[in-house]
Amino acid sequence: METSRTGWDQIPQINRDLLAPLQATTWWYVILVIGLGAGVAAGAGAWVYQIETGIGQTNLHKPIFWASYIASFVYWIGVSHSGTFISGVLRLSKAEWRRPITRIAELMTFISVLIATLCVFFHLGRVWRWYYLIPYPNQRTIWPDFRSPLMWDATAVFTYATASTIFLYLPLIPDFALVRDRVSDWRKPIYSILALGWRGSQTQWRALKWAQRIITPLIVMVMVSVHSIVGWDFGMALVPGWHTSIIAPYFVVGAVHSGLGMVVIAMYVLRRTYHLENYIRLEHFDKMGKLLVVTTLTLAYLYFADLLTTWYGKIPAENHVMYSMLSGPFAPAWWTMITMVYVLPLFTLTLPAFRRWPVGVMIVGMLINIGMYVERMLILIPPLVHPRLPYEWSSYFPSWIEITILIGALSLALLLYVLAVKFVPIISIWEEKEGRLHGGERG
Amino acid sequence: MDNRTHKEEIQGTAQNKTGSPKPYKWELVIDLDRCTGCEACVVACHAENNVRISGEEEAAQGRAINWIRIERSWEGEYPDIKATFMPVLCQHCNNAPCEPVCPVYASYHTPDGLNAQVYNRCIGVRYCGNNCPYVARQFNWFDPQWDAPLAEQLNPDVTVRMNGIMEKCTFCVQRIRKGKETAHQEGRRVRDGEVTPACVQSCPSSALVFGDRNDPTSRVAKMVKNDRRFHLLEDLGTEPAITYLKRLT
Amino acid sequence: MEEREDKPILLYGLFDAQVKLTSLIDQVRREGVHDDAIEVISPVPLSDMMVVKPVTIPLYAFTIIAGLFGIGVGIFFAGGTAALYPIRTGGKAIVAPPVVGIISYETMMLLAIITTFVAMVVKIVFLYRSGAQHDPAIDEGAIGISVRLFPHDVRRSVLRDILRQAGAKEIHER
Repeated sequence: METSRTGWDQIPQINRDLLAPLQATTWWYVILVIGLGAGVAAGAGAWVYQIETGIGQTNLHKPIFWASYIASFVYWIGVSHSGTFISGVLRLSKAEWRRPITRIAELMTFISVLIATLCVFFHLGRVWRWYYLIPYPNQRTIWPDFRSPLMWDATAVFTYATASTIFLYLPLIPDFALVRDRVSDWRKPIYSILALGWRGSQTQWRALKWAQRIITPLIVMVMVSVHSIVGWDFGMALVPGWHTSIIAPYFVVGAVHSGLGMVVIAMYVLRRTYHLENYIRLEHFDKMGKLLVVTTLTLAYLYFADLLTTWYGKIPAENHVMYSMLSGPFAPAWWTMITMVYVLPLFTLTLPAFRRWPVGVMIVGMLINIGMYVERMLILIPPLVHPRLPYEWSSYFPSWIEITILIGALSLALLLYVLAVKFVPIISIWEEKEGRLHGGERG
Repeated sequence: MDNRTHKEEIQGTAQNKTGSPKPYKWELVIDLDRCTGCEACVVACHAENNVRISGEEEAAQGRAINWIRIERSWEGEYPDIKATFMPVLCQHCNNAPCEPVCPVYASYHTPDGLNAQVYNRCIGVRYCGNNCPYVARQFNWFDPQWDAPLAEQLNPDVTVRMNGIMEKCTFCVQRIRKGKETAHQEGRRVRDGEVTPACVQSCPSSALVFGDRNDPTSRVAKMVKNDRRFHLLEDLGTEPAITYLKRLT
Repeated sequence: MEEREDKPILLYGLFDAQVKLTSLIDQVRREGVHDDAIEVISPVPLSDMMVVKPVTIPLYAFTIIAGLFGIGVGIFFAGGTAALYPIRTGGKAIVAPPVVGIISYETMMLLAIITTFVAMVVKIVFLYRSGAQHDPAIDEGAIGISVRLFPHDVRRSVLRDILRQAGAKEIHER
């Protein structure tokens, strides 16, 4: 086949382009790392202060027992669905255009799950006793209570963290072998170990492909279950506004929505910084834009179904919560969220010309993520502020300590990602080659 | 203190069918027609249970800890205003929504019908606080502080809770334990009126009545059949152990 | 590199991507070389018909067995620990079926995924020890064939000729 011939000829160029980020470091990079490191240090300091003095450093108070930390936990688990969706679902549907994006998304998943777990630790009142949550035989002769949705959370997030680490590492093995042969400094032994003695023989490829073929559907199923279980943290509670059966599907779709938005941001930044215009092309922004339209519409449908039911039923406790968001104290936040999560994406990403404008798509991705974070806060705060006994109605806004800690968590996420780009080829090299050679008949 | 394990306590109740004594079922009756809103119960509870002092600033932040609170509402327009008072505390629900959601079993239901909070097991996840529809649960946001000589008046029968732990009304479980131990030593059941929580003891108008519902001679067993009775948020199905009485017509 | 009579050597040829792989492998096979001794090395997975070795234990067998074991682990955690240490919470059953279901689902997935991954790693590492050395030129867009022979094997020179005729850029013996 003639195209195979030119495909094979491209391979040396592909190697050069995609290995370039690992080889050169600019001053801007160092400055970025230092800046993010400062953010992480500030967050860590604030967290230590909070542990020393007590959770009272937040603005939480009865009846608002959960707030920004849990909202952040939900948000980061949501972002983590990006990788599994792009790498998993698009792999299963044999969508060829996913190839340059899978590594970007898988890295994002891996890092987001770490940060989400960190947010849980921020939230615990006695974090030094966190190991009470681990089921192991002990002299206290007591096990954790698996009836609690938080234990379902612990199991599911642990499974998801392990699975997404494996899912990130699997396709990295051939790339680690490639890098191992091209570096000769202190990094070589690390890459050698990670490459597991990979040589590219057909039996090794076969083992790798089979493992991918088995794990991909499993991890997609885990992805759906994880965010459903996070949703059930709220759905199982009696709090008015939380106890709704739509919460599990709503959370899963919302997670894919914000995750895709994050990936679009990473796609743009990496394409621009490392001149990857030949690999992350306009068609990729176009396709991601279309996916975002689908998630926007689905999420809007689910949210409307929930609001309609609440509005029509007029059950007092839920009614108060809903109107506090539509026209009450939370209205500015709510309308901002509606604009950023639903209205702007629908009015922009439905235009084919807009979808082929990478800056525009990235900006919409950023707005979606800001809007989704506000949405997570709106799920947490208004229902808790309006318990069934009106004597206890209250108000809440995060404290400086909370904001510092959460900015520290965000800085840590960005820092880990920035460091990873130097360690791992940011586009899956062998999958890119495979796509150009065969048209990838195995997907 | 009681040295029996959970298992023995549970198995102990299962043996009732063979004729051994029924377990206790501690319940409270609150007569709203008698409550004057004086808040003596609130103060007594603070004193008995070593509840931390919050201070003005913390109270303004909504962090004041009260295991029992008087919810005062106004009815009518001036000059025909009436104040109504409702003491709200942990309802010790039979079907408590706060118990299954604790991931570490810090909150569970004793065979006596009490909703127990195990302080040294609590890791401060605060799901139980969210799930209590009566907002009866409190959290220790900081370590407690008693300026001298207030620390001298702490009750030695009750632990002091450090920061990060949920707490709430226990029906003065330390007094119940004492009563049960005395009765056990004398080979009898606890008599009606022998065990009174601090709030019941301090109420000047006897609006609060505490007792064992499984004892047919107790005041509580008779008062829960009163035609003025209702439960708070009854439609949620939590089956509270607290019965309110109020003449509505 | 001294050749010992009992230690196998690897006859290795590096080819351009245009090499006619199937006919070359057939020629080697016709010389009586067993499928187990032939390896094809490439920078991307080639389609199945060029894979030479047959499959021993299918990977999904590990997955299924590990999944079943994972379900057992989940039943133990959610149901077994509750039954062993019964503590009453709310009106919920001590052993709650939906809870056991959810936890078992997650532990099933966890063990299935981990076991599949570990089995794959073992396979990859094991093949390293018994196969050809790594050649960095492969990753620049070439295909390698390696044949495992004993040094005294008479077909050695015949196989070298076959490789050369098929267009090998380099031929090594290790």
